[in-house]
Amino acid sequence: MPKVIAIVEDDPDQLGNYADALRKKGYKVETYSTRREASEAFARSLPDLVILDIILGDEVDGGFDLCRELLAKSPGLPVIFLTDRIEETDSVAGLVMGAWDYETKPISLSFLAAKVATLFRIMETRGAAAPEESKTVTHGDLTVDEDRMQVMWKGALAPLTLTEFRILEVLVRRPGNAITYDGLMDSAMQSVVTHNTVNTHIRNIRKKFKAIDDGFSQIENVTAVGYRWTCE
Amino acid sequence: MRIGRGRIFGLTIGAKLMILSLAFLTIPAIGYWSTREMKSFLMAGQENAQLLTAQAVATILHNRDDLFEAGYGPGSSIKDEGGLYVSPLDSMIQIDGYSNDWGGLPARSKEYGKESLVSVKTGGQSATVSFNLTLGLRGEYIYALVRVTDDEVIYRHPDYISLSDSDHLRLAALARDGNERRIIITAKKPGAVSAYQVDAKWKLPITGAAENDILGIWRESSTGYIVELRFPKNSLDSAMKLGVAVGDVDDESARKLESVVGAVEKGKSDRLNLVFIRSPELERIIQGLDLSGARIWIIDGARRVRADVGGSLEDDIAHGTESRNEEVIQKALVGAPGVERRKSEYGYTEVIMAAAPVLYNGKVMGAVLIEQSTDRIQALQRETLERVFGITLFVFVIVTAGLFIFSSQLTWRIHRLRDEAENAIDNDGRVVYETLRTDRSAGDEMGDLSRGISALLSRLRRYTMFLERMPRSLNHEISNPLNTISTSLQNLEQENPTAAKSQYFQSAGHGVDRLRDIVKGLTEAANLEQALKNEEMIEFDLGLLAERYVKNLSAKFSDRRFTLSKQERAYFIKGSDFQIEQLLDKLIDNAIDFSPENSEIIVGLRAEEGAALLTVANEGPRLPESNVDQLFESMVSERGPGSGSRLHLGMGLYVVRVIAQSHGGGVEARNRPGAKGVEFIVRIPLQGGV
Repeated sequence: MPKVIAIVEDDPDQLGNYADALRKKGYKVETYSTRREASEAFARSLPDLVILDIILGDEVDGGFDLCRELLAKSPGLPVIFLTDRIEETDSVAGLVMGAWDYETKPISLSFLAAKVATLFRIMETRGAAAPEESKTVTHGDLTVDEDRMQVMWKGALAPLTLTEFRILEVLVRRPGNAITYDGLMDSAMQSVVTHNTVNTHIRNIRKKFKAIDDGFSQIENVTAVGYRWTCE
Repeated sequence: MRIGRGRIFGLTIGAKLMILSLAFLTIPAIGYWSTREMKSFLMAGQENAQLLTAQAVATILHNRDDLFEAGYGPGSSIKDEGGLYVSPLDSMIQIDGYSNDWGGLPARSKEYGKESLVSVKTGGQSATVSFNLTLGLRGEYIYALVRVTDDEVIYRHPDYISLSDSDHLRLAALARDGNERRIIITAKKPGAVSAYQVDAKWKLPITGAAENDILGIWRESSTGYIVELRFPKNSLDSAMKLGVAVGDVDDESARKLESVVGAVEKGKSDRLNLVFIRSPELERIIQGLDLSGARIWIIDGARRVRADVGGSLEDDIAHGTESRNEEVIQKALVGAPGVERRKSEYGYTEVIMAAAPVLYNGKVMGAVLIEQSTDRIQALQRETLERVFGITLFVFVIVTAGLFIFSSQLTWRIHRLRDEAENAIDNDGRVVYETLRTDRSAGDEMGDLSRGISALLSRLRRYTMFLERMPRSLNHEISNPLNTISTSLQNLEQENPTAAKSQYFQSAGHGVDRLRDIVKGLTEAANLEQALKNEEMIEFDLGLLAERYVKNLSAKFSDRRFTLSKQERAYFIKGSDFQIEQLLDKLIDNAIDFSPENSEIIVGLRAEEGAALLTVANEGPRLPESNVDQLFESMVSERGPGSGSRLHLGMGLYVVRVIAQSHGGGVEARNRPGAKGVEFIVRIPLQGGV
């Protein structure tokens, strides 16, 4: 049975483009232009993945409100936010427990499709496989589950987005070695990536780890090069 | 004086208020002036009052010739005749030869001695006797008290007829029929005297009959003898002339008349004196007018005092007013009432004298003089002046102090407002706070001003916020349609690969890419400040960063040569290494864009005055001097000939400035001295100021 993706976006052209691209990949896509519309539909039945534009019509936080609603009903639902700025997602970073990510505009449809696929895969992996069977890599207090694409620090789950996970993965693949900005940028899978973007991601990653462990300082900036993961 | 920090010169509000408050000095000045006016007014008032009183009194006495004995008109010259004053007697006089019932009059009586020599025996030189004469009037009688100083008192021989061969008194008067009447008063022994009318030679009696109307007692005293007499007033005619003399005999046997001394002025030996009776009636009339502090004189045409009441003993009664020939008296005696002021004998008060003529049938027969010192007025003036001056000075001080306090407070408030307003906007023109606290709820103009400025700042802030949000809003506005185009093109490519090869498709794609870069730049600038706030500030060595950075540059940009010129030392700063990298990125980008191929770009680092100076210098076109500062404001772009394909919104330099400022420093651009090209200097304070 094809997965159901719900897209909530107030601009009809963009909405149409996303839907078409994803339908071509074989998904069933349901489109909504207002929060109310989406809300009513979700009251009847929940999708398997939801793509949310943040600003819906007059509601500046329409996307976030919807997200909260959805997660209240289905906590593990995968979510992709379409945002102008990465910082906007800070407000919901604590909410999302399942796999999630965000894309900044202008969107690359191929990246979007790839992320959708990855998220579905992760969900399956997380739902199906027994914890011990998944492929994990451990570096000190860090545990990286590559199948589930989940990260644990000192036994606690860090709610990283897909992009953040990818960046961290790259970092810990060669711990102690500096990874260049370019290297990190490639893993971000966003159409508009700058050093600043990478820095923002690193910052968000650090924040999430610090929420678990105040003394977290494993990620170091290497001047003029990039970042590296240190295992003391 | 300088106001604030500007170069405008002017008086402070305080100084202005102080100068204005000098106007208040007019209050004490007016006070003083008004007391002086008051004094003049009061003086004039007193003069007037005195004059009116004098005239009123004079009016009472008009045509009362009986009080004046009109014969004593202006014709009588006081100089030619002496005067005998007859004082009114308050109490009964006992004719007993004792002077105790005369009161204080004898003490003030005149003494006649050597100067009053009438005649002297042949061969004699001077007077051998002197006497003191006191005349009084009571009822119908004139009383005389003659105290004679005589070393030898010789009484009359009972057998001799001659009356002048013993010590005797001589009285001469004009009888009513106009003849001169001469009377010798003599005694055989102490006790009652006998009076005989005598001949012109003063020797022999005319009738031999005693004059019965003359009553007297002769008594011996320690210095000689005293005769107390009484005779009717009517025995003097209206001319009121009387002569009194004393004849002296010292030798009992020879009985020669040694000398005669008369109550005359020097040199006027044989003339009779004018008798001046101080008129008791006049005095009675004016007694009721006893004004405290004032002296009322009534004089006759010859300036002799006929009555006086009140006042001080400044003037001896006996002197009368002969010596007082003030103008006002003279004028009154010719009929013109007047008033004048003179300084009193004591110097500091003034005395006002008013004079009014007393008329008889239109002719002047006397004058009323009222004299009063103005010391009360002076005292009053002084008191008032002191009080007024004191009060006004006090008021002046209070008002000035009040003004001073007020102006100080006002100036302080103004300064506070100015300072707060100045600091409300930072150096970049951003509104730091929009509500001024100074005088926020004051009810006066200052409060208005404060609230006005706050409103102004609010508006400014809203506008700046609007401007600041513009990149963000633009960003938001642009990215959506951009997204539409981009995703549409992507789908088009999928749907119709052939169309995707069309050059129009390609050019559309380029357009989208360019737009995307613009959006990227806008996003960065818009997010920058937010990002800076969120960055962790750590301590690191700028020198190390610069080294590594420059090393990488050569790898990245092959068409330029990069050199690091660094003074060897540690440059520890507190900040975000990442952001400094970004800053360098922007500066290098800019340097590359404005420099020719294969030229040298020099990155420099040195320390100066507690700050690290990071410089990026490139060859190329120089900056126009005029808008060097504007380079760092966003949206300004200086496009040189070698601008190439790199995007320019001028955002890069704006970012450099924001990053530099968030590290506590700043950035400056200038033309390279001595070389062609431009240099950017970023200043960042060193940790610890070293």
